[in-house]
Amino acid sequence: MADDLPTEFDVIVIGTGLSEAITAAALTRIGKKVLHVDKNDYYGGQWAAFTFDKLLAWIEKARNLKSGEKLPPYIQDTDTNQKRLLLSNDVLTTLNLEVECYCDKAPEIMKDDRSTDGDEIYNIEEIEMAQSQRDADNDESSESPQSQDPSSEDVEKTPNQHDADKSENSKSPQLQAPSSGVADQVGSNQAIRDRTAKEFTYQDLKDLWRRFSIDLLPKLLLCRGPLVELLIKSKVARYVEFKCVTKILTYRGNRLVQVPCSRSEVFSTNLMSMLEKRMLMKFLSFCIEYEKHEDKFKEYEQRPFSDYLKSWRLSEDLQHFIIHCIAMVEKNVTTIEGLAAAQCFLQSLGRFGETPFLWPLYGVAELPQAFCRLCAVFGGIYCLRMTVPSLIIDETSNRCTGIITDEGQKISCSNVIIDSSYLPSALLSDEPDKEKSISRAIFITNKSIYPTETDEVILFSLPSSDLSYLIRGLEISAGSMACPEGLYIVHLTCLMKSNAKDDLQEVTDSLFNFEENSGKDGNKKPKVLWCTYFNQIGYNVKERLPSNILTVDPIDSEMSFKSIVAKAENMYHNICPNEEFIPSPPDPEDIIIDDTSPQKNGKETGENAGFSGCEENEEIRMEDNEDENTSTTSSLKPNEM
Amino acid sequence: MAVREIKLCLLGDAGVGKSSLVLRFVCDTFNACSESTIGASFMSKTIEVNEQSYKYQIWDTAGQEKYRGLAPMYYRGAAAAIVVFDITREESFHTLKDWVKELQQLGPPNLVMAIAGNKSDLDEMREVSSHDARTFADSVDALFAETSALTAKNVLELFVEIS
Repeated sequence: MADDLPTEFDVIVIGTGLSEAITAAALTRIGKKVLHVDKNDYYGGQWAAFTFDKLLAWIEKARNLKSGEKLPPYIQDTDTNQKRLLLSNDVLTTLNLEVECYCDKAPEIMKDDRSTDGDEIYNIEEIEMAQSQRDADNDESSESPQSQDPSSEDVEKTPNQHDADKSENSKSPQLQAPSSGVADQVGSNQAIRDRTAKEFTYQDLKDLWRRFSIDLLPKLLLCRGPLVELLIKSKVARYVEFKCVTKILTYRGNRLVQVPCSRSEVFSTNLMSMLEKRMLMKFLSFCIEYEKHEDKFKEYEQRPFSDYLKSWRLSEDLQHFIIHCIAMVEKNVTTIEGLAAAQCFLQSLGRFGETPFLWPLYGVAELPQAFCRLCAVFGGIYCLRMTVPSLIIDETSNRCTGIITDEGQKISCSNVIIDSSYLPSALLSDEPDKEKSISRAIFITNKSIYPTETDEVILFSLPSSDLSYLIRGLEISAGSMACPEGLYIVHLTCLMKSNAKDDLQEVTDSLFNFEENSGKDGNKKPKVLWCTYFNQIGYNVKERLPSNILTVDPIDSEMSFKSIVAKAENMYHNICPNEEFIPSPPDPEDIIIDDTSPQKNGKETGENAGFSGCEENEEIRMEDNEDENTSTTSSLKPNEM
Repeated sequence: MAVREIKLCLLGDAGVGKSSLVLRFVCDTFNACSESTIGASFMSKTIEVNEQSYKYQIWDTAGQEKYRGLAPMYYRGAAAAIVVFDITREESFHTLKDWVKELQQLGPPNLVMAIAGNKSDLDEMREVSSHDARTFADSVDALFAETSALTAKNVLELFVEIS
């Protein structure tokens, strides 16, 4: 398929994780020729998000992958002054995988022939039926007589049908389309209430496969973090929609409580005394501009943050809130790191909503795709499912001069950016680097951990019981387009300590029920229907590579995107030292649409003609338009940055 | 009068004329030797149908389809999709069926689909009959039109019908 690829590029990027994608976009934006490839048939590598069936397939694949022998990483070309660096396909980036299912699996046997292998041939009749049903729904929009159709039951079972059935069919696990207005929202709340009695089975989860978008590496964007600024500046924000995290929770005693974020929330909360509130506000006001008061923390700068908080005579509870819920750091960080993290949180408050965090609809995996699109829009060439067997290294200059494709074609380039998990295992450390590895768990549950009437994105930040490490959790519901209505996805993440299940077990047990009626508050906690645990692994590159090969860790353990953006900018400046990093597209008013000579110019103007139609304050698209949005975003036009 | 915004995405093999169709619709121009799409993120145009304004936000593939690199993000939230084939290249009609299938599986529910047989001005080189194409379009419940970005035939009509 790739035989008609051009044979010369400025930069070849291998792996479509977020920092690679940002760098690739930045490079084409200033006119570099970029080839961007990934061995998988999806974008993102360890940053991907999957539908339920694809997640099962990914798990299966990761389980079966055995790490290969450590072969010599280089082959000498006999008659030239070149050697080849052999890339690998079997570096284990996922370890300690476990899958547990707690819902009724029985119906699967009956319907076994309808397994959800995504790609299977669908029955055109069923599609038609689903579509006619869709049309009927569109016409009548409320009760559809089609759902009484005797054959509709057959339609329900097919995993490949359009999830178009908007009607309230009590038997059907299909819930209504989430892309909906206010009227639909009311309807869907109704649907949730009607469905609380419903027991989801494993087959339901499989039938609803396409409604899931389950991230491998969930992270949150700080509203004033570098990624948000980059999204606005580059206009990539137009490709993705966001939702503000609605609540931040933590434990107090053994109860989940809401962390007060805004000033008004601090004043109205009953979690602390008046005195504590005053202390907290005083400390937070200091945090916002801590650099100006160096005398107040100089002495503690490199000492633990917790010691510093003690020096402010803050109560235990307040210390917990500040360390784990505002700075969101582990207890042993230094004062200066803690203050910087807390400042970052505070600065991001109120920009787009009550909390300082944004979550992309459909998940974080949209972000690498969005930057890849920007790259493609400016001429980058994309090949998925492309393995690169080797890199060519010129021994005289010790530089990489190109790649060899799986079809033996040589493609030359002056720089290579590569996800380090594509490197031969002989060049990587034997053991995972725990600073670059994380423990993950994904749960599908039947109920929110903090049930309310509205649709929420909930962040929770929970220290382990011995306070030695911090576990962060994220609960996502149907409004984020990442799971079907009536179901919730909970992600847990922490730095890898031993293995995912052990690291996260304690929090898991306190949050969820696994069996019916277990414990006295058995019906209060959400019940886990299905879950998986795994570690995402990063290794160190042991050997020095030629300087024009830049490596990227496959994952990043930070909660936000600060280091990812820094990494991308760093790689970009390594290749183009004096260029601006993703300059904004030209101002729409400066473009004159020239109808007579559309060649090239016509295309440029075409794009910008698109921008001209949009208002300035639309730079980041939000799901719920709260009042603050317009005022805060409009004050942040790119030229002010 | 409220303006309804519609996200519309184009699909189809490289070189069938997706970008030319958009260019004709948005700017009413044609460029015979246009290269693969560069620099066009998306274009927008507002049209009025039955006293209702529709603002199209038209997403082109940016060439990502060429080596199987089209991202699911591309279809997110699309209200409509136009799948384009070239009536002078039978192969592009075969792969059209794959695009339709991909949309049905991965696209949003309630997506309005239209199939466009482009380059209808090159009738003498035709390899795909109107009848075959229409039959297929009917079978997947899609709108169908033969278009020509060169002569502008049916282009506006296609977009109007989608709304």
